[in-house]
Amino acid sequence: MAAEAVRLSDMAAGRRERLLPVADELTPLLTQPGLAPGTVLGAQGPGALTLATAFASEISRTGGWVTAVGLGRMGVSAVAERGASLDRWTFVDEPGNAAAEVLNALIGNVDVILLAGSVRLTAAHSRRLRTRLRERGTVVIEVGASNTAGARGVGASNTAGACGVGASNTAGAFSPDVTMTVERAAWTGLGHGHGRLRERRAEVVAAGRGAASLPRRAVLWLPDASGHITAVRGAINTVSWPAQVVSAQGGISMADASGSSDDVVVPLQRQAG
Amino acid sequence: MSSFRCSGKRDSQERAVLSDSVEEGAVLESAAGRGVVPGGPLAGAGSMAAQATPPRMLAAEVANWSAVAAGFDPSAPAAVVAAGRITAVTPAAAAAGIRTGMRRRQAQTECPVLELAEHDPDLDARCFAPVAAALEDLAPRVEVLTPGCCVIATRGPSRYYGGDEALAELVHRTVAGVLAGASSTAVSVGIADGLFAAGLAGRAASVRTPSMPVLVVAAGCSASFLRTLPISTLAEAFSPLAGGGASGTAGARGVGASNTAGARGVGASGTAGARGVGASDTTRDFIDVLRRLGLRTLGDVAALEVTDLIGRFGTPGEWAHRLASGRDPRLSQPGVAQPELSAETEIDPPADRLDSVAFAAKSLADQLDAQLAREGQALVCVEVSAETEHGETTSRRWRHGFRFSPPDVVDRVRWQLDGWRAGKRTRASGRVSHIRLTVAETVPDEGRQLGFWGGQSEADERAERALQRVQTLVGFDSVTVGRLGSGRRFADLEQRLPFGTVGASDTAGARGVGASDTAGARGVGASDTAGARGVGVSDTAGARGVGASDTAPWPGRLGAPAPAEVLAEPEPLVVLDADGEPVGVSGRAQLSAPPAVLCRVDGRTSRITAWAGPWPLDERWWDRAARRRQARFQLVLDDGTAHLCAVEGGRWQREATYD
Repeated sequence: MAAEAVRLSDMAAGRRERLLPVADELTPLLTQPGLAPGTVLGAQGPGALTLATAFASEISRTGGWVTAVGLGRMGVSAVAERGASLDRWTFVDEPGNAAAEVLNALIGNVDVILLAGSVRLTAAHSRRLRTRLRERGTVVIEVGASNTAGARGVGASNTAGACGVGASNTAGAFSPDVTMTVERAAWTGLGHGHGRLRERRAEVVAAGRGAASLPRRAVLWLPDASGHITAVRGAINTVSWPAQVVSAQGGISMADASGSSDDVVVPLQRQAG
Repeated sequence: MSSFRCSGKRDSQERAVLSDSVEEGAVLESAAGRGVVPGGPLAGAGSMAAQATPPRMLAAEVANWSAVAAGFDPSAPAAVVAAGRITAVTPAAAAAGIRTGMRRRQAQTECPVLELAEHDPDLDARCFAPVAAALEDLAPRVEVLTPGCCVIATRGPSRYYGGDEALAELVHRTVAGVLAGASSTAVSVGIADGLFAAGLAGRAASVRTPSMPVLVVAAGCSASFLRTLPISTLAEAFSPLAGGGASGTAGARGVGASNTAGARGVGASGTAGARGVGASDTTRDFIDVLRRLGLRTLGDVAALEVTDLIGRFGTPGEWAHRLASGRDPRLSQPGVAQPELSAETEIDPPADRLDSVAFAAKSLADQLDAQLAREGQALVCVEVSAETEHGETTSRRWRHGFRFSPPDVVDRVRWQLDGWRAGKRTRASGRVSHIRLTVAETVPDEGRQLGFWGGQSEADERAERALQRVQTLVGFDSVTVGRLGSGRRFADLEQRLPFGTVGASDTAGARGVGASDTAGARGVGASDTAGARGVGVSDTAGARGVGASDTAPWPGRLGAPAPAEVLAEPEPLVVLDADGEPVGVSGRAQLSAPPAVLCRVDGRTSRITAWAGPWPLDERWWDRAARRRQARFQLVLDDGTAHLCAVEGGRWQREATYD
């Protein structure tokens, strides 16, 4: 998938730019079949950490290095469950006052930086590092307000939802190009005194600047019962964008048999079950 | 006979702290379980004793072995020369002022009657065979580090012979008994945590109490024992730095390094010189720089921030720091090779000459090396077995101070066969017809030349350098990698280890808490450990090693999906039932009432919309310090978040969140 994505985008857009691989389930959220180098993604809402891990683990799995900055409480088994390589997944739990220097050292040398929303930068640092990100191609995923999810609750993230951008974007170190907001997250499998947590169905809305300004929506198991991120079968992934335009922008021809592009197209027939 | 103990009662205090905290919800325990090494190197050394203490080792050494092997009379001034430099001296020569490392001419000027002999490594090895054989009668798995120096993991043997002291004296007596009378004074025995400290303990003993050079450094006291030793000890043969491996060059290691490092004369045949000299020069330069920086003792090095050392010297700096602070990096993460990773060949027609056996062994060694490299492992202990056409067999384990390269393995094969042919008790009567190399022990390969995923790419190196740079910014222990260990609780299962301390394979982490447990199993035979203490869950996991802990079930462990957020320290909570009464769990895992409301410390409350539990957990009830009893729950709150909570000691706490 990864290599294919690179080749397709090269051919379609005539760019030499390399796209970082993204799991098939998550591509409906993006305008391209992969992550453009230098992108800043935001993830927020309940399950933001899982969503961010899902994006990063595909890159880690295919040989990339991931560093989680300020996310001290990240679970290692969850990372492993997503298929990431623990060898190339490092944690800088408490960057403290050295956050800007730490990021500066990492940018260009690791492929993905998962950044806690609590990490703050001065405006000047933020600007400079942002430029460096664009030059060097490292992707930053800001795990926004996820840690305060308990406080804000589902209601809050719903209001932030629809257009995604707005809300807590002002908080992080960078303002994201695309913000993924997890909405309507609901766990299944747990009853009153019986069962166990099995899976979480969640709707993820991606919205941002430029090509991503129209919100895209995907319904995912975040995660499913085996710990993977999978698309909810039969759910409608929507984007308010004509299919032809997607084709031109994303470099995916409609005849592409990879399947992921089908998810992008609206509307899909809702299947029974 | 002497022993070394830490001043003060740090040990017992720590134990007290630990047990306190267990009663109070085991905050400290869970922090340790994640494997994050707390604090600075020396401050942390105590608290991480539970998991990172290197295994206790005994090092038995015969000083100036080459001179003993050459058959010199200890009372006559004589020395062994290799490449124009003195490598070993007799006591009489030492009294006359001859030192190892001197030039031949200079030595002859100092002592005109000095008798000289050219160094013969094969002779060294041959003469050492009876010593190793005698020790093998005492303890299983005696490992020969170099001719003249043996290593034994003391755990099992110590118990059998009634303590470290008894074992050390017994080993001393045995080795001295094998050597003829006067040479026996050269024998020294040291026991300490880790090979490096044990070797230096033996050295120290031969200086402090020459009449009975046996020194036992009490468990956990290696760091304070090492503190006062001079920095030049970093170049001793027990140190991986002496092997030059830390410099990251593939070829620059081997016994030859220790040869020129001057401790003892043990060269590894003709090629050793070339391989060794460069390495020890690097090390010598490194130590020289440290000395010029005003660092005279290992304690000075240990007192430095490891990040500073890495920043200035890179990997050797880190190794030096770990050696100096009593954390021998080699055996702290011992890996267990897969069963039966071996290479063997029939030699047909049976070989009469040693050279042709060595030639066969070379290809076997290359084969093993390639295979281990693919798995990201480095060979540290190999078992060499050979058989003659008449069915006689020999089998011996050889340990390397750092790691074996194929030529090193071939040297060991030569030495062993040489000794076998000349041996008294078990003598080969015919030609060698079969040879077999078995991997006895490996460590995750930390070298740069062997990558994971089929070769380390430039990007990997760049990332590693960047992360090392971050380590200098935020602290060595603050940049971590995750490893999946063994255990039922996520806090046990998930370990965080400082970046750079573990090899590039997942095998490193899967071994769980007890590095020392694995060592024990290695030293005395896995069956011993399993039999005696088979109940200890983490112990057996350790002994089984790597792949096993993935497949072995942990009844009571929660299945997928795993929580995305695992708290290093559980967050205390209050859980109330519908009537506002606190919910409790009885000793029989009976819930007093269904939980309805969850209150946090900061006063926020949430309604519990779904829950399951209690799932009782009663771990290590046989171990007062490590036992843990809790009842776990999964809760979904009204805001849609799901949490893993536990009741322990009557108190609720949040352990993880399914974010």
